[in-house]
Amino acid sequence: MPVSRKPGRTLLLLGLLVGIGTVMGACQENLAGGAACPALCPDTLTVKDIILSGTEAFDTMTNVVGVPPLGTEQQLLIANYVQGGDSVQTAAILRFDSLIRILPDTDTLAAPKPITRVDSSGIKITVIAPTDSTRDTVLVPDTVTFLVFDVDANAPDLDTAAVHAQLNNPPIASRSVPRDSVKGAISILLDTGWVAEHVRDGKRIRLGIRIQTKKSTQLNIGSANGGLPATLFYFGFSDTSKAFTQRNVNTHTAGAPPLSSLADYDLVLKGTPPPAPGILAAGGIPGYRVYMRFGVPSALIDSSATIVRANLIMHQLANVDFGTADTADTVLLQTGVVQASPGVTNIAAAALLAASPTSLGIAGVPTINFHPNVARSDTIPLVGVFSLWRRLGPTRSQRAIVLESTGEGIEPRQYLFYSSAAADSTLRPRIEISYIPRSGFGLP
Amino acid sequence: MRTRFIPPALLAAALAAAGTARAQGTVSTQGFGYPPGQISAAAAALGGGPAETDAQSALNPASIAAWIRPGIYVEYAPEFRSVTANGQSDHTTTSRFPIMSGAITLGSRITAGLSVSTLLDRTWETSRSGFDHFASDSVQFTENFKVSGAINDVKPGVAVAVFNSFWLGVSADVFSGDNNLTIMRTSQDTTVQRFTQQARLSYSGIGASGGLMWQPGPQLAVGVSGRLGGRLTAFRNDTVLSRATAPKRAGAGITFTGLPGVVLAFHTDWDGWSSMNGLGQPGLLITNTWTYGGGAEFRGPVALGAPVALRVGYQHRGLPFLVDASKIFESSYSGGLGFLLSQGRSRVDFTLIRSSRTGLPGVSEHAWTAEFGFMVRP
Repeated sequence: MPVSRKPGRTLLLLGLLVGIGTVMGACQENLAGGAACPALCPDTLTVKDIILSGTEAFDTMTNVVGVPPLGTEQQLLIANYVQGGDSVQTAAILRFDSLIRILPDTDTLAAPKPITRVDSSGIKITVIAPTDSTRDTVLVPDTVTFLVFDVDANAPDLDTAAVHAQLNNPPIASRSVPRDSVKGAISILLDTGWVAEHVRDGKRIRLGIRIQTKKSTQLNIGSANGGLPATLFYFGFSDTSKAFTQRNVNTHTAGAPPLSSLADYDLVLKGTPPPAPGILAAGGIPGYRVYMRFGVPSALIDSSATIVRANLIMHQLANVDFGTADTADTVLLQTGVVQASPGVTNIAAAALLAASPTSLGIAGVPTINFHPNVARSDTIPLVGVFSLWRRLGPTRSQRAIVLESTGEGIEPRQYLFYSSAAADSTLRPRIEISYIPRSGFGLP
Repeated sequence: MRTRFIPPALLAAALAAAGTARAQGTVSTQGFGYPPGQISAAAAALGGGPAETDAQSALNPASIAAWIRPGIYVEYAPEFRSVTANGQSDHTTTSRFPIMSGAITLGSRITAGLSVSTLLDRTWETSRSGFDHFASDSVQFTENFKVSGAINDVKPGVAVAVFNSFWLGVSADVFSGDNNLTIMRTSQDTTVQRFTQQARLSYSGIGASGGLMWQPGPQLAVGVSGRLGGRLTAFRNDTVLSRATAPKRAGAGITFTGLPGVVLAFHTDWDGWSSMNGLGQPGLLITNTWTYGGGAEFRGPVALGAPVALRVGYQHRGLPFLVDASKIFESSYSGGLGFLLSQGRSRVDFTLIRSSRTGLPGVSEHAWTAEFGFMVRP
C-alpha cells in the first residue's frame, strides 16, 4: 500500500515544534499558587502574642546620668545661651597639674636651672567649627568674651561642685574675640606674675573657661580625648637661659587607677534639670541615658520558638523645656544595644558599653524624632535585638538596651518617659512580643 | 525460537509517572501528593489502556518481558496547571522527570528490569497574604509554604516466559524518598522579622509486586498484576514519625490488535491507598481509588522511515486524598505521537494530556501535561 511521506514529515515537524515550545515554556518552574487558599491551604503557622510589663519584662530600668562621662568628651562645650526661655551655661575645665619648672643650662654639663621668671604666658584653645557650616553664625552670632577662672580647689578629683563654686569668683583673665575670629586657635594671655608664682612654687594650674556674650552662643573647643588639647605656654627664664615652653592639659589624680581623662572636661553650670523621681530621661545637658535590662522569660528567647515581632512601648511625657517643636530633627531618640557581659554589674559602665544596632548588623531599629515636647506613645521595634540575644545566648551579653538622645550632652532637650513606677499601669513600659512556636510540620 | 511477548506495533512502552508539583492550594496535591500513575508516555496517550502490557510502564512486572532487547527509557513531563477559586486563578508550571526504566535479557526466557517511578509527588508551593492582629495594631504578612519531593517506587523485577505466550513476573517495591518543606513568613512591616522554618521528611517502605501477561492469540494480550504493601515509615531526621502500610494495588488490562493498523487497549486499576492511614496526621482522609481508561493507536504516515503512531485516549480515576471529606476525581483526555528511530530500536513519544480535577465545589482545576518519552535499545 503506497504510503505518503508528506503527512509524516508534517507530523514530525508539528511534534518538534510542540515539543520545543513545551520544553521552553517549562524550562522555569513556577510553583507558587494560593488562589484556592484558605480552603485548600494548610494553616500551619500559629502566631502567638504576649504582652509583658513590670518585672515580667524588665529586671532593671534606671537612668544613667552624666553621659559622656566626665573627661571623656571628644569636644568641650562652652555655652551661654537661652533656648525656649531656659538657659544653658557650661564651662570647660583645663588642668595643668604638671608644669615646666626648669630649663636646661647653656652649659650642657651643668644641671638644669629652675625657672625664676616667666613672660608672655597664656593658654591656647582650639575652636572647632560646627559640622554644619551654615550654623556657625547661629551658634556664634556676636563677639565672644572668653573668661578664664582659677578653679583650683582643694577637693576630690570628682567633686565638681567645688570646682563649680570657683567659677563664681572674678576671672583672672579674659579676651574678647570678634565673631569672625572665633575659629581655630585662640590664645588668652594670663598674668605672668600669677603663672610665675605657680611655676616657681611647684603649684598646679587649673583653669575654667566660660564665655560672656550679648547673644546666645555656644561653641566647642578641642579636648585631649579629641586630639586637640588646650595648652599652657610661657617664656621661662632661669639664671642662665630662656626658653619658650608649652604644656598640654594634664593631671595627676589621687588614688588608683589614675584618671588621666580628667585633664580637661565639661562642667554644666546650668542645664537640663534632673527628671522627677520615677521618670526616665534620655538626652539633655548633662546627658542622660535610659538603661533597660530585660527579664523576658528564657522560654521565649532561648527556646525553639521564634520571636517575629518585639515592640517596646514607651509612654513619653511632654517636655517643653528648652524649646518647642523640633523642626530640624536635631534631637532623635536612638537605641543602643548593651554589649557588656552579665558580669558587668556597674550599670553606669554597662550603659556606656552600648553599640548601635546597625553596627551589630541589626536592621529595623530606627533612630526617630519622637519630638520630646509631645506626650505620646513610642514604639521601638526590637525584634532584631532579640534575635541577636538568642544567637548569643544568655551568658555572653546582657539583655539590655539603652535609650539615648542624639543630642546627648550637647543639646538640652530631653526625652522623658514613664517608668514601671508609674501610677497608671497603662503608662508603664511594656514589651509586645509575637512569636511562632516551632511546629512539627511536615506530615500532611 | 526466543519466546518473547511481541508488543503491538509501535505501542510505545514508555513508562511515566508524571511527577507533579502542585500547590496544596490545589485539589490534586493534597496529603502525600499526587499519584502520577507509574505509566509511560505512550501508555498515557491511550488513557493508560496498555499499561499492563507495556514494557516501560512500572505496574506489571511480567511486562518487563516486552522489552525484548536491553534498553533504557526516560521521561520528561512538565505540567501547566490552572486552579480557579473565588474568582481568582493560579497558573503554575512544574517540571518533572517521573519515570526511568530499563531492562536486560538473561537468556532466552528471562528478562530483568529496573524502574524508578514516582508513587506520590508532593511538590507544591502556596503563597498567601493576611493580617496579624495585635491589640489595636495589625500587620500584613505573606506566608510561603513550599514542599518538594516525592515517595518513589524503586522496582527491581524479573519476567519469565513460562510458555511461549505466557509470562510471569515478580518484583520488589522499595519505597523511598523525601519531602523538603520550607515555611517562610515575611512582612513589609520593618518591625516584623522574617520567619523561616525548614523540615525534611524521609520515607522508607517495602512491597512486592507480581503479575502475568498472556497472549491467547496473535491479536490479543492480557495483563494482570498486583502489589502487596509492606511497612511504610515516615522519618524526620532519625526519628520515626509514623508508620503505616504501603498501598496495595491490583489491575488488569487488555490490548487488541485485530484491526489493521489499529491497536485498542483498556485497563482498570484499584489502589488501596487507605492502608496509608496512620502515616499522616489523624485528620488526613485517604480513600481507595479506581482507575478506568482506554484508547486507540493508529498507524499514521511515514516519518523518518517508519510509520508514526497516532494515539488518543481517555482515563477517569479517583485521587487518594480527600479535601474536606470530598472525594476528588480526575478525568483526562489524551493524544500523542510516537516516532520510531534507528530501525525500531529507539522511540520518541510525545503525549499531551488535558486533565480536569473535580469534586470540591467552587474550585476547578485543569492541567495540560506534556510527556516526552525517550527509549533507546542499542
